[in-house]
Amino acid sequence: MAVNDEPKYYTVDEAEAQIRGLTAVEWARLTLVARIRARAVPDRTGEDFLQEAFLRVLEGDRRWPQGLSSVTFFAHTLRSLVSDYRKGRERERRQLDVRLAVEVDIDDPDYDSTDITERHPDSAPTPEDEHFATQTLNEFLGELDAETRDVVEWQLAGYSKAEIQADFGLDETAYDTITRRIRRSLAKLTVKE
Amino acid sequence: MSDAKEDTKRLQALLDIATESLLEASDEKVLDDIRHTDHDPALLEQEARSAFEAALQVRGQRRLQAAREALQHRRRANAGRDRRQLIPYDPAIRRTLLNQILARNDLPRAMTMAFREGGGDLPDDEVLSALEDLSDLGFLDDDITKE
Repeated sequence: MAVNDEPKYYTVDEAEAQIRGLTAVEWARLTLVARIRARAVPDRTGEDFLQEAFLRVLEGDRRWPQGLSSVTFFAHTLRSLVSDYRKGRERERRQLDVRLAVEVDIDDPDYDSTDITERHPDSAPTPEDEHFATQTLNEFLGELDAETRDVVEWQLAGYSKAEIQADFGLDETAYDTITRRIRRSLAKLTVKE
Repeated sequence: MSDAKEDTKRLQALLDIATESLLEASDEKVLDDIRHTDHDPALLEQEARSAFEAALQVRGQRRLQAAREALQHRRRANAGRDRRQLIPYDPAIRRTLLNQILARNDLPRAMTMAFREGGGDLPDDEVLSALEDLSDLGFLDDDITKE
């Protein structure tokens, strides 16, 4: 018998009803996720991205798979929106660079305008974003004690929970405590919004 | 890779870890986090609700704008169709009407030239097509068809 593996999606009306049915903690959790996600860019707030995420769903541009929890769904949507926004900034910056290069060409016939676009491949973050990332990372790591900072470095290096627990000699409770510290430190940085 | 570019990647990974952790935490733990980080749960809830209300408002405005545009489009289309009803049935009268319109001074010169270049030998179906075009552009009205 053929099995239909196609995911089923909520209609726009159903999705709207799901949002309206969020609990107080889910609304608050969404704000936290949005604020954390917005830490990737210097010039937008979590609320900006959250509004955009809701709008995408309400206008049927972003489909919500049935059965996926609201917070998980919006967390994925927010990640994607922030990523798109960063890429858009990068594209705008490259286009501006090309325009500037063309202007320079007028005065200097030897100027090679292709240099500028080649210097900025598609994945390149803007200098402003790079600076912002370094600043945010330093701010965050500065909040942590030495042990928690070491765990973060291992997490960022791609080690699994089990590997970190084994190498640091952490039981489940100790690992959870460190994870909570990481979460709270980052959440603390979003209070400024 | 420069340190700054590396930091951008590390920040992305960190935000992923933090988000994942926030998704896995129970409601109680999230509330506990909120209280321990100088956040007000009620204000956080209100912020997300406001974002939703704002999104509803934007959707409403866009729907209204789309409805207005659809209405205007329909009006324009209907107006064109109504004027097309003014085109006479008789091919000879149609040809006379076309010449009358071309003789008017309010037609753009380029348009008059284009029709005249077709000469007086335009086939009947092209005369009809020209009248339809002119009617859609608003050059066919009751006054001239009654002349």
